[in-house]
Amino acid sequence: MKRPTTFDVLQERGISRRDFLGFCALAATWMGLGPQGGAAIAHALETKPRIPVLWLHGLECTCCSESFLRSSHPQASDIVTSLVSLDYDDTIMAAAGDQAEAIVEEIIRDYRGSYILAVEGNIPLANDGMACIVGGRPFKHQFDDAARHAKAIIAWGTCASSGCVQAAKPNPTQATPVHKLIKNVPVINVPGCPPIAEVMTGVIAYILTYDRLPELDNQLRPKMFYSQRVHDKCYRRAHFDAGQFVERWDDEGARQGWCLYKMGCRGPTTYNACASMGWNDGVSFPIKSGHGCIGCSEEGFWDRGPFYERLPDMQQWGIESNADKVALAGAAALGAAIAVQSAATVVKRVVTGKAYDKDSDDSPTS
Amino acid sequence: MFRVHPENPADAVEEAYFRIYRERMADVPVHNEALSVEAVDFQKWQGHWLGVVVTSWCMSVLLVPGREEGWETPGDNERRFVKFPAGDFAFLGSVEPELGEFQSCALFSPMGRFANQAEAVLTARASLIALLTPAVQSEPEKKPQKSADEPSQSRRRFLALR
Repeated sequence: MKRPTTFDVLQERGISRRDFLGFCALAATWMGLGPQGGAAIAHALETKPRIPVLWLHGLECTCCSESFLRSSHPQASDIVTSLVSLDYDDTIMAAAGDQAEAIVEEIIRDYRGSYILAVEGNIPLANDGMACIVGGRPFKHQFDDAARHAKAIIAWGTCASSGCVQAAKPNPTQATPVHKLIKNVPVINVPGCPPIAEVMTGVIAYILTYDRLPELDNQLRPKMFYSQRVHDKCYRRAHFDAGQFVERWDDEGARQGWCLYKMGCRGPTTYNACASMGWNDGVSFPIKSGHGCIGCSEEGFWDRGPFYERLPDMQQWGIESNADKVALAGAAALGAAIAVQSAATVVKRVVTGKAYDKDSDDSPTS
Repeated sequence: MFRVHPENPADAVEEAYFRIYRERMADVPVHNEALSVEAVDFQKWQGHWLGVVVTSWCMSVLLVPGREEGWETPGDNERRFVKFPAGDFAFLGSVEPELGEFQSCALFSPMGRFANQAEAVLTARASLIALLTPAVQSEPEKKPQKSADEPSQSRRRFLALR
């Protein structure tokens, strides 16, 4: 059977060209691709064959699917689900039972080495995976079969990226994140509980457009969305710098919208795009709603002490986007002005070089 | 609390941040004890005062009003983008008794990586110079690298994650 083209599918779903181009421009903005980005995405998405995607669910709560299907742009998820050929996703597919499970085998057989495997949730290994049974057999087996022949694997959410609550101490089911079980297939981690819808859509659009994974950091996260701390882009940052903290819930500081660091905010150690992209169509994000960041996109966040206790150690180094920008802009000028040559060296070392604790051993993509 | 500063506000900046250090930041465990409060290179820029404040917990670019015209007050907890030769930078509004209204743009926090005051001040100085220099070098510096190795390796990279 001939697989329909993207164009066919878009038409079938009643998505106008205007909506499609609007989505492409939006996606380019999310990814920071600049003005030509939208056209590049549109061109790629219209001309390239649709990529078959298997979307498997392990130990998880489906919040990633929820987030994805509610992408802010009215039809973002509609468009993306048209562009990829979402052949198997037990949350949204019509098929059930043996028929549904047969799809997985067909995809693996017919598209060996060319399908994308998206995994929501992690894989419990204890007792041969008995803690998660899909279609009558341990999820571990389904995952192994599908992962072995995938072109690339997207690990959706903190569960798949680092384990999340299932892997919290003492991790009785031995819940294990995707990348720890994979050797020869590229994995991209998209952490968050759930990840931001626009980030999920952006990752898929990038892979479809450029036929490769975006640049990743040493935790396999796409740098374009996870290179800055929530603290760096927080609109309450000036209050931190000025020492204006909320001391108790509902005190004057809380009413004034001061910094939530003393109330346990994990913004200073959390790498995510919440503060710049926001949630629900950019309406808000936890800190804007008066609650600290709980660091849901960080590894082991359940085991890092109570959410409402001040961060025990905040000495983790972060690079403010502003400092980064200044360093980029100034490199030339500083090099030219001999008087400040040594300053240039210091800035370079501080802002780029070893300063990136998180990225010091460089990304797997470069 | 809007106040125009006809004279260089460096002293007032230091006073304000010393007080913040002693009072509000006293029990916050983020200080680099090798550093102290210092106002660096405050200068007139488009009628207002632009400089960098170095403290033991953060480093920020500050904009302090030098005159009434051209001063925009961002709303409560709103960003205001200020155009510099290096690009547009987001400033947040603040008020301290020593300074009245002013705006800040965060550069670093915490300050653990700075070995001593001289290094931090040097960085502040260089950042200010960089801020006032057009961002010409960043594009050509990045582009050739990308176009040179990306197309040829993209498929390999994708398949092998290298």
